[in-house]
Amino acid sequence: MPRRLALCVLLSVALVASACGGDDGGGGGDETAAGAEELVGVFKIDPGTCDTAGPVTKGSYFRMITPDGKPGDGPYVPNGDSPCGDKTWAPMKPGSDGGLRTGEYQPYPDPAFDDKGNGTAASVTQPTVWFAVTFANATNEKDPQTDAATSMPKIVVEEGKLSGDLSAYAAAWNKQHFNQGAPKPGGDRPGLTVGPTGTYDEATKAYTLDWSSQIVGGPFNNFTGVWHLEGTFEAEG
Amino acid sequence: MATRDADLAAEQRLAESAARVKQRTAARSAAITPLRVALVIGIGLIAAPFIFQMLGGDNRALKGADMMDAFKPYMTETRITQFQGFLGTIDAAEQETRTKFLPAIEPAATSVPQQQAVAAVEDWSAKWRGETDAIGINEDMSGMVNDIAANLDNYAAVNALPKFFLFPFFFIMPGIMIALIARAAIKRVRTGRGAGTPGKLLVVMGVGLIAAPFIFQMMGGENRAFEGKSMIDDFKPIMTQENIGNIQGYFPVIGLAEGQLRNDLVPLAGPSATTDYPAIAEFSGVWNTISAEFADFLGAMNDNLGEYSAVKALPPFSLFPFFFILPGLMVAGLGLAALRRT
Repeated sequence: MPRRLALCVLLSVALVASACGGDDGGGGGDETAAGAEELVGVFKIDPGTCDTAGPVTKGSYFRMITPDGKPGDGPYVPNGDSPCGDKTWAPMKPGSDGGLRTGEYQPYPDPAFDDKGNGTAASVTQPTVWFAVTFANATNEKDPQTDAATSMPKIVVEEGKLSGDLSAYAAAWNKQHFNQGAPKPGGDRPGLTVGPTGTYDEATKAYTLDWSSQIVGGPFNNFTGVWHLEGTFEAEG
Repeated sequence: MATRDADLAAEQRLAESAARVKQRTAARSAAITPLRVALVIGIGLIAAPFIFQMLGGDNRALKGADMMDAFKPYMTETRITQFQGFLGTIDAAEQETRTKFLPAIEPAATSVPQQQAVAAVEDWSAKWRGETDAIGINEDMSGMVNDIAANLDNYAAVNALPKFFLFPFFFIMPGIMIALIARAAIKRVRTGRGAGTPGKLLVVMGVGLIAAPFIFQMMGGENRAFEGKSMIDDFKPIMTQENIGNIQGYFPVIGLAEGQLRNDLVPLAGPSATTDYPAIAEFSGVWNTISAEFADFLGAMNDNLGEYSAVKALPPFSLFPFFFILPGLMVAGLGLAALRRT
């Protein structure tokens, strides 16, 4: 009898503990490591703006570092289709979802390219012209360049600082696929692959998000994509 | 007296018998030795693919097969002619830009972006022709494409051979057979029955090994082994990280100029720009195709650097026929020797 009673008590404790350990609801904020909060929703993108004088001064953009370059110093690849005075800056505009979703993939449509090689995905960002052909961004469960499984896009905030896993992030350009995640699928960080890092203001929901991702394989092997998103975060639900 | 004669006769018979036994033993040893050498050659053939890392280690045979498959779409007359055409299109645009277009529109390029565009286009023109560097982009890329064009037949010859990943087994399978046959022959000789059928099979295996390079036209006919060596040698300066890095660096120079021409400078030439400057119009019209095709090709080159290095690390292709012929001669000769000695 005492043994049966002890078993009942243990089972009851287990049931109560599992009921108490679930999501506290409210969308957008899931507890991960102690003190860190996962931000689930849309990181809405402010469009990049620049003038004929020089770089992007506000909003989101992309740059590409040459194989012998370094972040901050360059050299960066100049793009003849950039509207900026400094052609190494490619301002980006928000896509149909408003920006980058976490907790959900925003995969490439099928087909991922039109017949001229332009990328067709337009949910994260609008396709951006790069050397006469648009590149399009997406987050895919299976990376189209490497066929590797990726992690769901995830950004966490801790004391106003952002980090996470954007291994699913990719760019499609001219019938070529490039993983542009940080870390890479599987967790590696080759070469100049760093981030994502950033800032988040809980009161205004304003954020900045930065990462760089070295291309591994293909025609642009060892070039590095530098990504800067900024805007406001909108929690899901 | 009679007893003594009988003893002497018995001794003589014993001596003669001993001599015969000794003679037969010597004959068996003489027959076994070449069979043992054949056995060792068989084992050597089995080991060779592992020693050369065709199988295991660097897996060079598999990498060679992967490389041949990766290059297949580009090693065609159609594709190479297309690449040569692209370079011709860019060259024609450069000449027209330098000799006609820039002199005509430069006075109108007054804003900072327009002047930056002129600078970018002039930079492309100079690098294209090699004014600033030891070798111009056009000369370098045309040379590379022409070297590839010169090896189309060599590639086709090597591609006509059995798949690379099968090559280790062309050593291993005969090696196993020769070793087993030699062992069977040794057993026969030890029992006093002579080399017999296994000995004859050794001769047949040897002749087969000698014939194989000629059957596959590695030697004679298309001389595929020698053409393969030529191709690997000609690709040495092309398939390097440095060369790929150079070509990667050419792309932004050409692409930037095309974009600046299209976006900033051609509008200065007015509504008749397309007809006035047809080479530049053609360049912009096909640029996305050019960049896609060259990107594809450059990607294949970059992604097969390791595979090319693996194939290059093998002994020269021109020696491969002899890796069959020499063991074949030896095995056939050893088989014949064993047969004669029994």
